[in-house]
Amino acid sequence: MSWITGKIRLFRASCYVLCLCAGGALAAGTEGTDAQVKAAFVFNFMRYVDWPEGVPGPAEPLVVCQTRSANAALGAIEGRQVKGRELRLRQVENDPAGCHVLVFGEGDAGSPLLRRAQGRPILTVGEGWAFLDEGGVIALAVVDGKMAFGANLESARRSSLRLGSQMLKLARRIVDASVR
Amino acid sequence: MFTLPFRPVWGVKPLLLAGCLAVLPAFGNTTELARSDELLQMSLEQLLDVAVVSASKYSQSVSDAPASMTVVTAEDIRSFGYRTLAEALSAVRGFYFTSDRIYQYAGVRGFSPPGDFNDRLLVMVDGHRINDNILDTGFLGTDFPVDMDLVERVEVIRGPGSSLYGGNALLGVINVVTKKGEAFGGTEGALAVGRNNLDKERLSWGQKLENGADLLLSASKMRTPGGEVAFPDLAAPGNNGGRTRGTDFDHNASVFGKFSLDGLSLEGAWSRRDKGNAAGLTGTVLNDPASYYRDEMAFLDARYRTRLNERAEVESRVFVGSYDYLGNFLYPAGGGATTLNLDTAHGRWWGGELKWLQDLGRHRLTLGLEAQQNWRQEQLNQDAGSALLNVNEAHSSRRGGVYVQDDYRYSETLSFSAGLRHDTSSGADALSSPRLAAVWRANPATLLKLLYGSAFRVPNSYELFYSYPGQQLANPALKPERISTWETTLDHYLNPDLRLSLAAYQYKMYNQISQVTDAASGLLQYQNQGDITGRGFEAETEKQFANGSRLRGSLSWEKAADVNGQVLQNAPRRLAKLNFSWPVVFGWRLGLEGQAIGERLTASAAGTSGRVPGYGLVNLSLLRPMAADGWEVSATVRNLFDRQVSDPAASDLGVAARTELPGERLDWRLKLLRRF
Repeated sequence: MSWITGKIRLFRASCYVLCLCAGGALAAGTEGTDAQVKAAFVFNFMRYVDWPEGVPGPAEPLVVCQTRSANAALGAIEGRQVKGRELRLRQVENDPAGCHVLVFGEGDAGSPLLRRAQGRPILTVGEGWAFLDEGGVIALAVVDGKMAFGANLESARRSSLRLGSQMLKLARRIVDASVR
Repeated sequence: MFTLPFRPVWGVKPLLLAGCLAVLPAFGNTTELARSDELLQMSLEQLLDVAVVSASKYSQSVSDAPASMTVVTAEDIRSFGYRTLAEALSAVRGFYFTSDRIYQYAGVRGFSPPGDFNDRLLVMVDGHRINDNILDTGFLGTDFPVDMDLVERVEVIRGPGSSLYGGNALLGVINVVTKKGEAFGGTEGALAVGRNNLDKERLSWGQKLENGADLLLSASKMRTPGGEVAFPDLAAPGNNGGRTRGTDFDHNASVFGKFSLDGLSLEGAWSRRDKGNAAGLTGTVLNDPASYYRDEMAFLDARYRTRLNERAEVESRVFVGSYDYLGNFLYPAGGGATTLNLDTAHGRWWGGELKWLQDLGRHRLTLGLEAQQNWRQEQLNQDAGSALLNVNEAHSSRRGGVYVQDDYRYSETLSFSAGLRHDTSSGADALSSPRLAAVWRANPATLLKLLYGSAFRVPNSYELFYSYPGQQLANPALKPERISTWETTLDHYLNPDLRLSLAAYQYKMYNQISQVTDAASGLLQYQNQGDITGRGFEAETEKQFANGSRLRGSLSWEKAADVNGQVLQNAPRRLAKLNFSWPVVFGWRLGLEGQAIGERLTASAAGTSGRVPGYGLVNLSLLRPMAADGWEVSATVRNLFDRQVSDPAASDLGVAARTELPGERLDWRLKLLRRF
């Protein structure tokens, strides 16, 4: 029955560790789950991006869309305001119509939804630098345990979106086909 | 808070535990993991400096579903070599099993009265109810219709599930999710050999086709003549000390298929299992392979799921099922003569379900209605060659329910779920089953749940109508059985690799249906009994190591008692589980499993102690996962130290002195799997 004894020891140890942690000091620095941090980035991007005149329409909300596999904790931004506009959250399958922001996940590589969104005034946000080469506007990528972002300026222009210079200053990677 | 039965042998100090419990919620506010609110207030510069951890790590074994849930994955099934659902569920906290060498009876949280039929557990395959319509049995042994190799995961939802699923979901819901054809990507064959000349073969073909259709077809066959088993209670002069050989056989065949394309899916299964009556249940001739139980079942389930718009989804489903039982019993008839008795049951049913899922932003609404017509519920008993029917009951019945559930996300950290189902069944009053849940994610690493639910089961066809002259009386006046359960659970991740879970629960069962001796007639009869109260506490920890090892262990303290405070039969006060999976070398995995169960009360009979002692069993398995050559090899030994143990037995008129039955001895199996 020695496995029982071992198990009890482990259980005891877990309890002690738990109590210690609970009472003790905590590590410095902030951590967030990837989904949370991604949502916070998306929320920030909207502050720095200008949509063309008349989009969204007067008194209309800013519609943030996500795919099924977006892996972003966007629930937290629903109802908040950016540039005086309320944010609405929506999940999309095939049709990007009505979206102002469209968030893709890792599993959406090669999605026809991205092609359909191109050329429309939609801020597409995806995962991995390859997303920029596919024609996405902004890509997020985890580099050394922290999240970084990049932008495709050509895609932004085709979508009639203006990306703020304050934001581009912080970008880890910029793709601009017209310069190349 | 109730007091728990601690004994020194278990070594865990209640004070320490209580201390941990008290401190935990406070811990929630000071973790280094940020809340979404904080992150949203940060600037881009600040965000670039936030360390990212994967949320999926936190959801590996604990979901924020508004329920107390455990998932057994295909990886667990392979790592520990589970051959039946019962073996897989034995490792789940709060579960324990007893067997009479025919069926596997699940005990959940201290409730498993000897002689029940697993009819307080709802068993589903991909959402299709498996419980038959004669005894409402949820089949969990080799009689379960789907090969374990086809199982993607087993979802175990503890507590009442009637608010969504209707009857029989008193102690829990077991949903077996099968693999897609895509997971096979071609042909796969498996061959297993084991102790007592066991051999088992399976051939499967699965593929995702170019048009997006997914197809899986599989057939399995298993045979074992069984080994020698000793039944001390059958030891009488001239019968070899109660030993029997060649009667513990198990012959089983099954076929499974599923097809899906876009929103349409079709699924069907057929299985037949013949199990020798080694234990001489009901008093059959010992040591004669003529006595066996046959369970044959089949189902077909077709569903169509379609999205009406971005926020609404509809699923419609039709199903048909059948169950046939044969008890082929050879009884001594005096003077060395024998009589062959045939006990049969035939069940047929069909039904449908319509479910509407509506996304209203913070609210997610589920509306549904389900109906089932049991067009055949037939029970017969006759002696072979005789025209006289001892039992002749042919019935039909209906059941139907409407349900609604609202999952309400109050904030990012707090959500509620409220559900209600209203059911009507032939011969029973309408019943409402409510369910409420609150889930609070105190921080990304801590999840607190408060759950309440109520569930029911209507008396099954056997309990209502089976009547055997001179032995058993029918009772069409039986009332439904009900349960209401409170539970609170806490899941906390000390780091993404170490989880600690605590759960406390209390349930009360009303009008429990149990077989008793009717005072007036002196015959056996199912009658509604007084209330049963169960309470308990569970602690579980799970750790993933950097080298790929996984460890999970749990301890349960439980007490289930009747109105007089008398602890129930077959209700252990303590359970312990340990599962350790370790990648040894070259990708081989070693699976070590330990399970311990405390002392249990049995029925009392002259010359017996009225209890069986607690015991611990160890199972060991070795797995060489599928390699590039297409081969997978695994070996499993159950009851490694060949311990001789006993479990409480159901009272049996045919074997009146029986209060306990011997458990399985050492058993091994070697399995080869090849993918082409």
